[in-house]
Amino acid sequence: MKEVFIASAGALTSLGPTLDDTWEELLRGRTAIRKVERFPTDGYKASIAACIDSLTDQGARSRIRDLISRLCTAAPDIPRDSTVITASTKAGIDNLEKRRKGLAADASDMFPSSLAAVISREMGLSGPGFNISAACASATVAIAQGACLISSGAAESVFICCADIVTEFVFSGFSSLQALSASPAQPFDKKRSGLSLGEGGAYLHLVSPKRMGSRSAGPRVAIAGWGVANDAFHLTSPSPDGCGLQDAIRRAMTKASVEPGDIAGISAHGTGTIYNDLMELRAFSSVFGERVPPVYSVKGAIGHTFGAAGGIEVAIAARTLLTHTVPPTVGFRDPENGAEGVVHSHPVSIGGRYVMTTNSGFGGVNAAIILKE
Amino acid sequence: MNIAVTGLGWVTPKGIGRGRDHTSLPGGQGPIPSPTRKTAFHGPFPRFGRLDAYSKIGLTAIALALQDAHRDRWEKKRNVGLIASSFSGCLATDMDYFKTVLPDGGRLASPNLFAYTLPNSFLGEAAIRFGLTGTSFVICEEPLTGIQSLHFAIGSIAEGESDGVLAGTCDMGCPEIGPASSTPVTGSLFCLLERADQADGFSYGGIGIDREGRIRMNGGSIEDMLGLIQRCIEIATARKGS
Repeated sequence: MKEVFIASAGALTSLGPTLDDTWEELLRGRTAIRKVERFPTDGYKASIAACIDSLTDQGARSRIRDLISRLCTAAPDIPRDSTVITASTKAGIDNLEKRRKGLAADASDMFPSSLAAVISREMGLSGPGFNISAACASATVAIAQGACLISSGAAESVFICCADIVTEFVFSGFSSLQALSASPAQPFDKKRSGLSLGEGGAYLHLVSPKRMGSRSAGPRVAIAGWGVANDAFHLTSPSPDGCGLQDAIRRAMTKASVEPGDIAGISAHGTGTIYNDLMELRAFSSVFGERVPPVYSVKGAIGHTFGAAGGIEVAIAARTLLTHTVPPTVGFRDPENGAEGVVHSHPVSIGGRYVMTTNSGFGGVNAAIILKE
Repeated sequence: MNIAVTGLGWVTPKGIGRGRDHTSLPGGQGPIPSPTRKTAFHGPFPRFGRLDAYSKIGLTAIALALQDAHRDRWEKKRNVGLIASSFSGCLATDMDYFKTVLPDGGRLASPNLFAYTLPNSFLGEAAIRFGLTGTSFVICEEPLTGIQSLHFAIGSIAEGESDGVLAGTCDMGCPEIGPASSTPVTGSLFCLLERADQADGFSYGGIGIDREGRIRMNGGSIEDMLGLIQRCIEIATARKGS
């Protein structure tokens, strides 16, 4: 099995236009969750989300095209033979809203496969690529599959790009499921009452050791392990015992050849919903026993970016690993049972060479990625 | 590692069927038949009536493929994955859902329909119904061939991540939105791939990836999911005749 390196990574979130900005603002404990101005929210359970105000939907294009375009512009040159994998749950579904309002809307933006085609064109790549849809674990699964392509020798270079935007379509849906919090999300807090939606995207350029070559003399981050598992429990609720997440984590640790004690920090899904956060704490406790490493969630800061979440969180986790710093969980104050001493409202220094990210989604999907310095 | 195709199921314009029955052949263009609960499920399944049309055809083809392989009954959850390819995904369901958002400022938005506005929701239903705990995701691709899902399914089994994978395509089209995809076949087509040493006696034949990255079955090249299923039916028919 070949090693899989992250040659470059970037993110565009509601906290800032670059991964550096997002990281710095996270460390300061800032949140970008505020009143939604994009559509009326009077009929919904909440009126807040973490939007990128500067995103435009000029003409017939979806906002997601602007987001994708900015990520492509920020990315370094990518080899022409790279496989493009995008990860998005709803792509340019804002164009369905536009059509319903009688506005010009490019229908192709609503098809998730169009995102990969756009990226391939913009970056001058040879293949059309494809999109992976696995609900809120879409990007995590895309990274796992991209890593698998490289480790098996089927590809030398894979460009992962994940993106999702805040639309009335998605906002109304989570509101109808009673999943939105009226105040900014508070992951792992006793008083948490739901999630806050967010928008954003990230890119990760994965390469084989041969392509990594002498690309960087500094510290390198590799994708050491990945695991995906279904809990086969309920369409929209996680299994309370976290069996699917435990399974995904154990698969990732086996692939990475590491023991629980090797993991120095965990970037959790941490949506701020009652059931998700409890499920995660149970799963972590089952796998790590009494020694659960520091756990954090970025969703109190940048909201839940659904299909893009896993990609943004892996990019941030690479910073966690390289700086040996777990960022604060914004919104976290009063620990849920099991989060005491594990989740923090301030940055925490860590040692070790491995960090893990986890995500879960509708359809029972659970996924884990282990990064190695 | 040897990998075998052990079950086939489909819901296509030409008809609904499973591999060893030979009661209908897959393929065709035009309206897709609407499966009912009784098409593929024995006993109660109250949720089936609440599924959107895209999920119904996908779940039915998966159930038929599992029946064909005699893998539909289970007691313990199994490490079997679900990988599907689609072009339109659940866009038709998206449109139905958004119609419930428009009146009264979204206050009447349907949570039941929203749950099916993800292309992978039907895979979740299949995982629950059949106790499948392997990887599960949908590849949105154009043109829709299903070759990517076969690649990832074979890779997952070969890497030891899954004991088996249900790989297939599922597409209803969405004429109200367009654009038309260069989709060779609409409807749903699924096959069960399993480690040959764990297959339950019957197999249509071995499947793998050659050095050039092409999918091959019993020595022949496979270009899309429909081609794979047709090849399997030819093999089964030839065996019956010999």
